[in-house]
Amino acid sequence: MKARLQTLRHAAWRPLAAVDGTLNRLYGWRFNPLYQSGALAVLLLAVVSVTGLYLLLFYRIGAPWESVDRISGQAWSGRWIRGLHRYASDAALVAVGVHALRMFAQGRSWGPRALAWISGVLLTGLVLLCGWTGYVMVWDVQAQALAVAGARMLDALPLFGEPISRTFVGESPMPGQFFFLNLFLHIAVPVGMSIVLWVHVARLARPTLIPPRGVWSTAVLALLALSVLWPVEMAPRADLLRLPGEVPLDLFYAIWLPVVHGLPGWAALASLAALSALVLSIPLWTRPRADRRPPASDVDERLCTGCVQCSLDCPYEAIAMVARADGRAELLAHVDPARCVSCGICSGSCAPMGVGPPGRTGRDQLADLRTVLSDAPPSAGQVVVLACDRGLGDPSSGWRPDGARMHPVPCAGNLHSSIVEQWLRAGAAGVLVLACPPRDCWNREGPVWARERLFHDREAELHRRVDRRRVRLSYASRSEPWTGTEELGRFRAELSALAGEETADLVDPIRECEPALETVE
Amino acid sequence: MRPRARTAIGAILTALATLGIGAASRTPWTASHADQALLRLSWRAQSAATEECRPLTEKEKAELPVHMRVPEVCETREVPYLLQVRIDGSVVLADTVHGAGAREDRPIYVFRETELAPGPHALDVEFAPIADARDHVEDDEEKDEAKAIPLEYSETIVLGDREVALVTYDPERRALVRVVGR
Repeated sequence: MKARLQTLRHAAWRPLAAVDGTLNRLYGWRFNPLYQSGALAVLLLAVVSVTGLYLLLFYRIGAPWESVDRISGQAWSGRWIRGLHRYASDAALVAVGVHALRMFAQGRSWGPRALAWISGVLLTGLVLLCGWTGYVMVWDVQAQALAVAGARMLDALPLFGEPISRTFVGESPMPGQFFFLNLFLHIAVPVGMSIVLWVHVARLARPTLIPPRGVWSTAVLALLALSVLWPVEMAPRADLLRLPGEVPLDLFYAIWLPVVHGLPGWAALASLAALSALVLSIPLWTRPRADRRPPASDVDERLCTGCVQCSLDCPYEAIAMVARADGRAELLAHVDPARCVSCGICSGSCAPMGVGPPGRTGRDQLADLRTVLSDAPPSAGQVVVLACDRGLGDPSSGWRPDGARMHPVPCAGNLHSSIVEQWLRAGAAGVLVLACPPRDCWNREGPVWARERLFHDREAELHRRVDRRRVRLSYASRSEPWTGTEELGRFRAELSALAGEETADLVDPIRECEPALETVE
Repeated sequence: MRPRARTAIGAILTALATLGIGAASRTPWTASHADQALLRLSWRAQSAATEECRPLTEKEKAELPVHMRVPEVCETREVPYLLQVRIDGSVVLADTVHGAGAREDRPIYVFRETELAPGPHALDVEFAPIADARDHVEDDEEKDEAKAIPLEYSETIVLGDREVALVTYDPERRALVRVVGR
């Protein structure tokens, strides 16, 4: 099972990455809607809430179908507001699906991220429940099919003395209490969703809940245009003494109806339970073997100066500053292994190189680089590409930087700025850092902090003595080799303009740091 | 690719995705075909309960706390019914219906659906108690209350396309009746 899910995960990632690349080319990475799926879902649910408030003013539980029909008859307001309410809820579910697929395919569903996964599944369930109650409120043929199928499934549970299905036999008109209950759930469930959403993002330092203006305005305007040009029609009224015939089915919320149509209630319920259990247990199935799990960050107490930068930069709030036990006045960084996803962003934030996952601290990176440089220093005038190994740095991406020296790094945010300096010091003409697009960083904020550290003096900043014209940070996903090639070409052109200039007198950081390192060792 | 071409393709893609949402939100689905109809039986049965009592043994009494040592224990059950449905002379359903709940001491509910072809059908429904609760009752007044009434429905029904024939219990007439659509 575990191996199958891992294969499925890899199989899902390839086409998703290919679509990412295409959309980046069309819209640019800033406005790629797939990168904004989670924030888009939140935005669209906000649109659903606002439009729902208007619809609530005209809805009557005593005459559900008639009142919705009246709303649809308001050509200047109700018709398009109802359409926007419906289409935005559909689009929200699409965004939720894309978001879940991304997290699954990228393996961001286990360990400290399991809470976000499980709360996300719960949120999806609540979105669906909200949608179903909304559809039942209309009381048309789709509502009838949903209510009857739902009741049949609930009757399979040994909880009710009288079958719920008897409510929908058609003996008497549907009571107002039923529609009141639906309306109550339709309003109460979103309130519950906001609480679960809070849990969903609780482990993130800076959750993104609103997509860029270009994305949200395009999404809302496109759905608004759809609502005006293709308004939602009224389906025939529900009649419990007639079988529903042609049903205009909303595939997003009711795709399961044709699937369970011929099944007995218990089989439909068992299928739903099995599917839910499978989705909820994905953190277990996608978790690597214990010996392959990346270790949590570690703090070298002797080097920690209590500067709090790692705590500020950590995207998962896994680092807290605590009082020291050794009598020193400064605070000490403390990593909570239950929250640390081993992104290594703290390694790049620590000037004294005292924090990071074992083997990936700034000191480890410098030590590795020394080995690399002693084996094969860069040839004179060669450009070095430090590419994220989940992006173009992955050999399976197929991208080879023509004539440049490729050096994959785990994440641009993990990269210590001293490494860039050291490559230049070793003779490279320039260093091109190729990070994943910021909204697609597997570690959330790696490219953002990398830019701040290289060009905006954020700790641990690239030393002032380094000529910034010889350093470039670009973004490219793993399926955008053309972007890598274009950026490399541009960088080379810029470097060739500097050909006559001498590089600044760089100081060798390894030589400078060596006495301190030896003292520590 | 030129920026203008990129913008145009991006706009077309956005429009197609939006139209896709519109189309998928109203996909036609034939939930039932015109040559289908349904017989639905649904009622809450007028039933009677049997109560069987026996004295507690000395050992059972000893195991109970003092305040719970009653002279006898009684077990109440709803009388089970046999539901039999004949359509055009053939038995299509013959079920024993027990009282609801784990102890079968809750009221009896009937909810059965049988698919039929549209057109006329000779329908016979019998719903009769299997045991007589009066056998367990000594008091004459209680005997009348404990009487479980058998119910019957015999009619030729004509079903239209996708029509549901609902047979239910009318408490005023104390009989099974058919509810016709409004």
